Amino acid sequence: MSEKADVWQGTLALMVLKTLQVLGPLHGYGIARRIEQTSGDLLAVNYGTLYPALLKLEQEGYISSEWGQSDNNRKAKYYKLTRAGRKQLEREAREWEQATAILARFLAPGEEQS
Amino acid sequence: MRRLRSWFLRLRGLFGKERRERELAAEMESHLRMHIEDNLRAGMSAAEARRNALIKLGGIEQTKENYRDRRGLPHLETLIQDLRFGVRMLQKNPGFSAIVVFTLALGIAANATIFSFVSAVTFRKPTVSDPDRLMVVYGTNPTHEWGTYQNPISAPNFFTWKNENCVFSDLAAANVLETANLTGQGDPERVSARLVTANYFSILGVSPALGRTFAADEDQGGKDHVVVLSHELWARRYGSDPKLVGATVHLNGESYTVIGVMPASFLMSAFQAQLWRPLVLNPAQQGAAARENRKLFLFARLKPGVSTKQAQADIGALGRLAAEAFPEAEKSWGAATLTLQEFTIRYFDWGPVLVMLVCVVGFVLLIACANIAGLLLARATGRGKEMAIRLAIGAGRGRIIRQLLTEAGLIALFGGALGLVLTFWGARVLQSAFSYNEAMRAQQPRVDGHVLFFAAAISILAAVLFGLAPALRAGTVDVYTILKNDSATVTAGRRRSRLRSMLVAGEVALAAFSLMGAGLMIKGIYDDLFAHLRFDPQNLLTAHITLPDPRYGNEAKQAAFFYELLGKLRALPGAESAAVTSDLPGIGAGTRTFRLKGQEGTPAGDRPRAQYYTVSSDYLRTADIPLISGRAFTKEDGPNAPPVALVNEFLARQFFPKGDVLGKQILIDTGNANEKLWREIVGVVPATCRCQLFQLPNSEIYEPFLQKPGADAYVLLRSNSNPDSLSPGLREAVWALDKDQPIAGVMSMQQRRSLELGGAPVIQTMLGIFAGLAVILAGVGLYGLVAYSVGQRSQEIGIRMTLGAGKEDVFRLVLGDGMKLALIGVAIGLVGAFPLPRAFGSLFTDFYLTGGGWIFVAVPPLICGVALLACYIPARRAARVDPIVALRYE
Repeated sequence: MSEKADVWQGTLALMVLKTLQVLGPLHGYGIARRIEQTSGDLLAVNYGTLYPALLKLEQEGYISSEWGQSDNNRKAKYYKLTRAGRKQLEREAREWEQATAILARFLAPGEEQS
Repeated sequence: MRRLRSWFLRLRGLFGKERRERELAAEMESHLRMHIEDNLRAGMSAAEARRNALIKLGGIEQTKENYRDRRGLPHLETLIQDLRFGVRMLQKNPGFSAIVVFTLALGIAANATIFSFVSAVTFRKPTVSDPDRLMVVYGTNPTHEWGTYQNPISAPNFFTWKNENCVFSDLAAANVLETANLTGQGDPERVSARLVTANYFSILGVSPALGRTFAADEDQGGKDHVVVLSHELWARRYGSDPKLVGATVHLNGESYTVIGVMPASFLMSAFQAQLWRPLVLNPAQQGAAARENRKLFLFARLKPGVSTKQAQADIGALGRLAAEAFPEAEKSWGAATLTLQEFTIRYFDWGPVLVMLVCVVGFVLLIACANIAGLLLARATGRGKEMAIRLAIGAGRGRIIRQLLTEAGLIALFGGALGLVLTFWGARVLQSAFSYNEAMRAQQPRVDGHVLFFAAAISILAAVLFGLAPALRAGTVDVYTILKNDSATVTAGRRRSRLRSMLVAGEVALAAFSLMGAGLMIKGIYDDLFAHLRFDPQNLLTAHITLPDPRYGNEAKQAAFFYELLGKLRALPGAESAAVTSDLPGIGAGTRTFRLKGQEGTPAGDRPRAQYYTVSSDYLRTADIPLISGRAFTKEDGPNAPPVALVNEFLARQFFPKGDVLGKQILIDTGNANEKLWREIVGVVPATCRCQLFQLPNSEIYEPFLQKPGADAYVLLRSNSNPDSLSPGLREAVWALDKDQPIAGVMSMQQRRSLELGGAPVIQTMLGIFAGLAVILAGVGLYGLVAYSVGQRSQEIGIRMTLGAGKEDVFRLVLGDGMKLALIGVAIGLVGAFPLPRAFGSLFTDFYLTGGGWIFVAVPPLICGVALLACYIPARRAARVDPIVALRYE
């Protein structure tokens, strides 16, 4: 159980970092919507799980937060990528690509026999 | 790093909670609003927009809860909550808390103090270099009269093993301790001397503080008149004079050159000496007889890479080889080796005494824990409803157990801290009690890391011991029954009170057992050191007088001085009799070898040894030593009369088992080999010296002072009242004869004995204190149980009284309940203690208890008395219960 959650947390963190890199400072609701849109309907997840993940990233120093005004003049907490976050994103993205590439080779039919 | 930072932030998340909560709420709020607005824009109805947003979020409270877990440290938060609650519980009941914490502190302090001593004896390394690689080689012999103790070995074995072993890089030999007379520059004194081979100090790996140690060839005949002094002797006798190195001192009348002084830190406990001389051994001159002359301990360095086990195997094999090669001399002898530290522990035979002390203080701690467990259980009964309500509103059983254990841990923390403070004090008391001789000073108890660790460990252990019962009990609380059944108080939890009863009976049993054990031991020590003392140390004044060489150079002058002095002393008002002796009774004297008629040819090393005294004619009367047979010395036993001697009963029985000792001839060896004076044994006296705890008596021989005068003697003066009142008279008498004559150590015999025998009385006192503590704590536990049950049963008592029970009936009921437990406990303790005398007998080589039976008779009533006192107060309170108040209450 917990292992699954960890995997999910890890990838969720990566998605959050990427979203913030692409869109710049954004509030929790915006990040959640963006992740949902990007993934299509494949990821159906409670928006609520995003907040502990955001807190964790903030505690680790990859993102920072401050209160600001939303488009329709609502008070919202905006998260933005820090320098450490940018580096972490690069590192994690690279690791992720590597991992998927390796897995892809395994899963590609018949290639290892040749 | 990231991880650390995030932990730090989470730790910070524990504080400033309100602001963070507000922020979280605001964030949730803004999230929902934005979502709802989006949903409205997408065309949902207001209600549906809100519902959809909430579902998507997954619940506000759930999200917040998850968020909080991430924000703080949930486990830590629970712990802090529990701690805060625990502190509140302790504060609410200061009397209860004080008793519990103080009880525990006493238990922990007693254990940690004793452990500081155990630690000093067992963990502290000897002050030699690389102590774990320094081995002592010794002889074993299970059939020898001294049992399997570590025995010295012979010189031939030393040479063989030195050459043939393959585990040691080198071996040194040291003689068993001898005493020597140190004269010249200051008062003559008897010092402990050890003869060692030249490589002794280099094998130990210690260097002198001043000068040098022995050169390689200084353990050869002719070059051996050099001496190394201990720091203590150098500082005390020679005032730390650095110019002493190179100076000449006189040992047993021969001159020696001081070549070095050892540092103050060089303390060898079992092998301590005040000075060291070279041991002259010639490998070529080791005949067959030398094999029987066992007086060497070997010190050896392990070769690199050789383990102690390998060394043991090698030395054991060499020992067996020797036994096979020389069956006559080496029959049933073997060899063994231990590290210096282990050797010392076994040599002092501290084991049994320490085990006893540790047992008694362990019992004190167990009793303390049982008390606290009992009190906590009692409180748990009172808190039954609280627990039930907690369970009912959703606390897990694990959570409740954890909270109760946290409370127990809190008590342990406070108790342990207070206990540690008491330990510092206790260790200091032990220090001053155990500084009575050089060997003990090397093993001073201190509160070191080991002791701190031990105190922490037993605090935790105690917390588990007394916290577990109430905690487990709480885990089995039946919510339904407790909440429904208010009247449970009338006959409150039979099972629970049974557990408490068992605890209290167990406590009483432990206390009774400890008290009987300690009592037997105290009596044993007393018998050994005082009751079996065959002289009367009361009302005796002692003084040490050493006549300076030039003025009293011959024996006639010495005898004249002392006999003139004795005449003056007898005339002092209050003096009953006076005597001169070379050594004091009951403390021990230097030893000499002797021969009996028919054994003239025995080689020097094989001759039996006896403690040797020269005493004046009134000695037996003055010391109040009874004469067993024959006659005492008289004034007629002078230099021109036939030479005579007295021997003690031990020697007489050993060498003349048929009882025909009187009239036999004995030759006492002096330093001068040509002096062969046969003496007639004219009387037998009891053994006066058992100088160490549980040691067998030694042989003793007495010669008349007039036939063997000396410059160095003790004066014994028996008074008919406080001996100290005679000391000015004694001084004046001496100075009237010679105004320049120094007098050393004018003190009563009692004082002198307490100086010399420091250890045993300390152990006696400690045993007494701890056993008393056990009894008091058990009494407190009994009181707690009875008082509590009276409180719990006030309703029942009220009903009994309305139904016609009188005050006496109630009083008897309560008293009877408590006393029943006490009696059961005493009975168990008594049964447990019965085999103790035999157990002590096998633990201690020479523990013989005579007439200790009264202890078994005396302890039960004593414990019952304490129990009666403990039950009396609550029983009287019960008898005063007003039935109306008791029944209306609740």
